[in-house]
Amino acid sequence: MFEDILYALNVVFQWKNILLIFLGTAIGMVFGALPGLTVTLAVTLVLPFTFDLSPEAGIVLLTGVYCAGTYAGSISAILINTPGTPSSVATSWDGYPLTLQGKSFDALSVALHASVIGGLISAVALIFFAPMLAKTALAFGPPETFALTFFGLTIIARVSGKSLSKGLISALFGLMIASVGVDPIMGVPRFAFDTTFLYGGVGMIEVFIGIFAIAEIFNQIGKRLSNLKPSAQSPQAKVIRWKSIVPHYWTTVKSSIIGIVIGVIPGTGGSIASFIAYDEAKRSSKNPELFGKGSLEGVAASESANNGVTAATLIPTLTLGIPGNTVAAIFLGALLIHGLTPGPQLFVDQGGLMYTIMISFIVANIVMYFQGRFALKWFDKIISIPPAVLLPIILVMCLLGAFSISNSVNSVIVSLIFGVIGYAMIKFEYSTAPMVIAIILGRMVEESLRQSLILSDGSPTIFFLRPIALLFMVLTVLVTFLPAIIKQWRKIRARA
Amino acid sequence: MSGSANLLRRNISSIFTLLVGLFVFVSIPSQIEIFDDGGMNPVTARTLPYLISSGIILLSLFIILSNIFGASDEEENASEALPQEKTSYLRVFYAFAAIALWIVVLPYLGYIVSTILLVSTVMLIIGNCRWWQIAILSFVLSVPMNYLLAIALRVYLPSGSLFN
Repeated sequence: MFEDILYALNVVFQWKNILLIFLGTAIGMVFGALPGLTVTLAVTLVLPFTFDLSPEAGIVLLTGVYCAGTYAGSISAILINTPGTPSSVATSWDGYPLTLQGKSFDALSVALHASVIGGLISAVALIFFAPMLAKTALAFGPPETFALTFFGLTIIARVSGKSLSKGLISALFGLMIASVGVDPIMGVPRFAFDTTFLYGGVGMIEVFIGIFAIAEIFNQIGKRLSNLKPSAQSPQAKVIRWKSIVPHYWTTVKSSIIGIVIGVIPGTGGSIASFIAYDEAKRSSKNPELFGKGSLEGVAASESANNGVTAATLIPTLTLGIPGNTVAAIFLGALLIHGLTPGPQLFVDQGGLMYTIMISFIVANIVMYFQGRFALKWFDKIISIPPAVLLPIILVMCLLGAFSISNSVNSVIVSLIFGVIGYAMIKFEYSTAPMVIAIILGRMVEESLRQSLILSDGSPTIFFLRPIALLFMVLTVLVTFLPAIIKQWRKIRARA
Repeated sequence: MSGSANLLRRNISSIFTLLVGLFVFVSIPSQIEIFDDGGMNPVTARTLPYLISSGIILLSLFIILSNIFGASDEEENASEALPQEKTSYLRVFYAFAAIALWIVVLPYLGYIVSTILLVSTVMLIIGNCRWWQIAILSFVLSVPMNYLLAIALRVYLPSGSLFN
């Protein structure tokens, strides 16, 4: 373990990787700050450009984008009341009133400090808990793996949208797309439609670029866009005032822990964590009446919680191979592209790489702090970039990213098709998260299902006779039916 | 809007997923070969695709029937909550057409010319921009980007068969 940590420190502190973290945090900060551009989009766009890098360098770059993108969502939430990422919605409730009071710099400073503390605590949790969970997961056989992935997909379908049925359909479509190409056990082609291009399956990165980036560009183009300007406010000295930050450290630590706990559960994410932490901070605050009207404590709670999720969501991703959210799914995709299969065995085979990921989270948060401090004075300029300038830049990046995958327009065509599918999914309220995660987990789901059924001569009882598999199956049933049962029970009680 | 038209609007996405599910289910025998092993192996390459397509068909039918006969609040709310904000689908279609055209003309016109055309078109579709912004951005995203990718990432973009 110590050898792995030393290896990771050696890799992360190479000047090239430090530069990549700087670059990643800068990209993440710009994308997170711009309304409508999410951290998922930023990570998706950067991913194709990591192909030429080593796995360590690629992951280090993505980590910088992820950490800074999650934090930077707070900037537009505070300055123009438009959250840059969904997890910054709660930040806008207090951040924007503070801007109207002429305290935007205080709000931005608190958001930066809370985000960095949340991110650092989350990274420490990843370093401590991931190896422990990986050791437990080493005992998993095919039935346990299938039950776990089945549970993971069900919970993601349940929590990522309004309708469980639509979430499940989205996940099933993801599994269907994953099944295109050569069958992993028998080696026969499936759904290739007599084309050589589909023999290798549908590329993950093409799908990511289509679903997350091109679909979002269509969505933004379809809206009536106008240039955004920060609200007029009374001038305030642009100096960090520690007396505005220090009193909220306890709230920050508590909210970070809430973020970690929520982040470990697959399918949840920064949004849920920030709402729960905000609610808890309001409940325990000495000044709850300030919440919603301009409370720095509210900003600290929301921001530390959503950054607390960042590294914690990688705990199930790296140890069990179950992505916690869409960004974690893209991380998983990045590892798969480099020929590494995430799961407990990766801790045994590639311990150095695992600790590189973990330590890069710590370094990325530290770099983000200094970059954020430097950029605090310039954020109002960044968010004023008009959409008419921004969207073509992102579009060309998408097309080039897709083209560079296979050096042909075939990949661009696939991305465009998935862009249309993703746009339709946005419009008809089908969550894209279950689909993307199912595409990544597809091979693992199929292999574990088929191996289990071969072991049991085709009998599905194997999933109910082994204790860990049974536990996940019971949890799956509970996740599926319990909310409906509770709702009916409440209705009956209300009538009574 | 009449009741039946509203019902169709609410069910349109589920009808589409149902049709896709049926298409996949029906096409499995022609798209996936299996080897005759005399029934030794209970699971084949077709097992999961059959399970997936059956699941899509059943869930799509469930949503459609729920919308027709009035189901749980959750499903109903989710289905009724169709987009409320004004969306210009025509602009989205134009943007799609511009990208599709870029893909078609890229091998002939090359990256630089086709990207200048694409960026200018997309900026005009979005609107709210000045001519000099269009000129500068079209140039920056085409010529320097072409050389940057070639030098830094060794990604060589098409130079265009018409110009070769």
